[in-house]
Amino acid sequence: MESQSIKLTNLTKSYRRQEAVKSLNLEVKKGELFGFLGPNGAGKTTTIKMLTGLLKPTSGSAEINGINIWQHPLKAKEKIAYVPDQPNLYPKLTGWDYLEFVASVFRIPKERFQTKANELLRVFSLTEQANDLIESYSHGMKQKIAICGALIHEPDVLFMDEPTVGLDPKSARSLKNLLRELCDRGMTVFLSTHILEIAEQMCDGVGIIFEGDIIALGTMDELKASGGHADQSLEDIFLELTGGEDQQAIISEISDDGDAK
Amino acid sequence: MMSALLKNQWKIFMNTMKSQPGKNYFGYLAMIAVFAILLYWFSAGIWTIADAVTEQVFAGILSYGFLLVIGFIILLGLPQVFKHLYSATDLNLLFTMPIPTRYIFWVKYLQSFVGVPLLVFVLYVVPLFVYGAFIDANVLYYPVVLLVLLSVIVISLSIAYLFNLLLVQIVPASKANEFMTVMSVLSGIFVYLLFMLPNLANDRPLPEMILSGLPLFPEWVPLTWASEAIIGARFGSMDFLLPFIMTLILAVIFFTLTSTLVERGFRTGWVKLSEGSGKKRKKGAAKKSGSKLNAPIIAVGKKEWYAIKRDMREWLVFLPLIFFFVFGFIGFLSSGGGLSDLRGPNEVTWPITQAILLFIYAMFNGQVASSTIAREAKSVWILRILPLSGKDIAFGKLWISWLIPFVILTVIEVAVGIFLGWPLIQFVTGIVMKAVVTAGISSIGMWLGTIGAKYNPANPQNRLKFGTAFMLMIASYVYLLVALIPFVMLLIPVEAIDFAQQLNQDIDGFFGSAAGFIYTVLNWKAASPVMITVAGILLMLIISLGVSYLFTMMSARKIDQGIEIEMVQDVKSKPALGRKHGSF
Repeated sequence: MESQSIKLTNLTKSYRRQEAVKSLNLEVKKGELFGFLGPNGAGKTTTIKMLTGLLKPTSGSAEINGINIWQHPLKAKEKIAYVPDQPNLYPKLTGWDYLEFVASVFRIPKERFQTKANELLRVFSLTEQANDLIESYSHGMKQKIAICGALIHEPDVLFMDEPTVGLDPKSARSLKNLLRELCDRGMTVFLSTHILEIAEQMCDGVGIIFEGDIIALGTMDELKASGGHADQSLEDIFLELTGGEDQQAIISEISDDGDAK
Repeated sequence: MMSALLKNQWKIFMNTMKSQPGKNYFGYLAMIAVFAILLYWFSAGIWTIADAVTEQVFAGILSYGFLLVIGFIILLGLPQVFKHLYSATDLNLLFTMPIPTRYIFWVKYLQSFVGVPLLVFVLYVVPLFVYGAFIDANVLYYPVVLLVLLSVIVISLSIAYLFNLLLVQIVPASKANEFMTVMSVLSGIFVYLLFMLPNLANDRPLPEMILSGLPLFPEWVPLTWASEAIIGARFGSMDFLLPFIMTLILAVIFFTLTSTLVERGFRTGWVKLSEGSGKKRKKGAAKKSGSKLNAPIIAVGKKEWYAIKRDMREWLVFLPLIFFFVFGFIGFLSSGGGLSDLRGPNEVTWPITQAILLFIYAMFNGQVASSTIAREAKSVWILRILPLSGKDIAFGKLWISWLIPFVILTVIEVAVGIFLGWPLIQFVTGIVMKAVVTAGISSIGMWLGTIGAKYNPANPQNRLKFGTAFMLMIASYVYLLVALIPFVMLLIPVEAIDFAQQLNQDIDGFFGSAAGFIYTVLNWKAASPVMITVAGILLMLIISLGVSYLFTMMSARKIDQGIEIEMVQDVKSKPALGRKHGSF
């Protein structure tokens, strides 16, 4: 039995001479909630797209439950769900129609679909709007219905790109609780986020990607222990590793100059 | 799986119909009514002439008709096919689901039938059935017409798909934005050659060939099979069978060929195109501090220049120029002309060249200037929140949209002038005159851009509403005529005075009055040539610069008041509604 849900081996993506993702090696265990962090343009979305079959790696492999997604795309996609940062859903479907469509593709039995859909819609406070056209939804509501669609077939692995962007605090809290619960029940979650608090509070493992390279990997405790960061928060570690501290120093310098004048 | 996808499409269609505002239904009804009337006239015409149509003439009409079907579907259906294959927003979702790519492809293929192919189908099948009824055709005729027509449409659509599926493998990912442009150009050339086929295959003109009942194409050409199948079925002759089966087999081959490219051409192509856009990063030396900053008007123009320079599609507006020169030149040489024939006295070649260039300026300047407004598209808010006046924006957009065609056409003019051996004075006069006159065209174009801006992400060249684009065409030429009057007056020699007088006496109306006006001016010119020359130059300057200033200020005012850019969101699902307005 494969204990790794996600396995990246030398996964690389190049655009001409520029390497957006540089030979990543990474394993995420079953039931793990993995936070993929990095500054803008670090390669987070590129990596997720390669893992979900939306972007072809230049070299290396990506496996989901031991299945190479580029060699056996259909088998791998049966196991996964993906929520992009900007979900482009069918504007002319209602929320219910959309969930029905996803359920049909995954061939979920009708009764199970009904129960699951109602449960998810309730969690995300969408029950009232489920019969409205998606085009009338706000960004946050679209995000929520996309998450419902992703969870409706109870995937083994869930990929989420900035899932909390656009969510109101209540929905963000619901999502966090739900993800934790689902992971405890065996689902693997691979999420990218900028909100370090989420990663710190929820994630079992964290990877920090910077300029296409993974520069830190492990549990929160491991990260803190590794570079003598015992007393530091994830934010401090992140900024130190990704050069944010230099930026902070420049900002201080600018404000000092301003004060001097 | 297919049923889930089809059911989904059906729901989208039904919800789209249900969510339309009431006025749209009237629009659809009106469109259907107009189409039905056209179809009725067309059918009535066929009913009237059907008696005179011999079998051979009918075969010629059918062959050429099928050629038109192929040409139109490729030309008009190509953008739709591109949209279905590569720019549909649902692909991002569908490709992460366990759906075989071929199923997604087949649904997209079926979707492509709705649109140009369906219209073509109705437009052909009704008149053909009317003709069948008139000649009391055998019962076989009707299903054969249906299936042959369907096969021709499948073949045409498959060619459109093949264009997309094959080209996507050749075009590099970094040129994803230009993919559609390259494809449009190539398909245009392909269809042009296709329409030239009858002319290439025969020595006599096409109408003559059809009316005399001569075969347009050799027997081995599939268009002949399709027409022979229908001809054979008219009176129940079994001769229809072989060409009919061959046509059907050809359609199946085309469809199968298209389907075999699905994995490489569709899914991998989509992945390639999605990664290509927005991934370009300018590596290399970062801009050093102290890199040049400009005045707001210059900065606005520079911003426009970068947008044009870095997107090949923007240059497509000048494509007719290349066709104009290249095809014109080839046509001239192929008709037996030599390069030396183009040379002539400067008094003749110079004004002719000026007239041609001004005609081209009138075509491009307004178009380039009007595009600058809709180009803002969804970024309109940036100019809105910046502390820029409408005047800054209008003049910023004016100078760049005037300069680009000016530089391009001046380079051409210099090359032509050197070839023709013009003296320096002619160079300078021509270039300065056009520089002044064309600013007016640009300003009119920009003003029309402010009142009729439209942005269609799928077709970035389409930046003006239809009515406004038409107005622009008329306004550019009217302005040119008016602005050039004083200039032309300077050019007409005093020796023409008698001719003008005679025309004035012989002709009534507008032309007579014009001749009278010329006669009067020439009289003044004879009396004091320097004064009249100066006055002519001044008048031209006043008209051109006055119009430029007036329309630029009107544009500025409109920008200050807030401009609405009609955003075409999704042409397929919302023919009349799918628009949101941007404003700045």
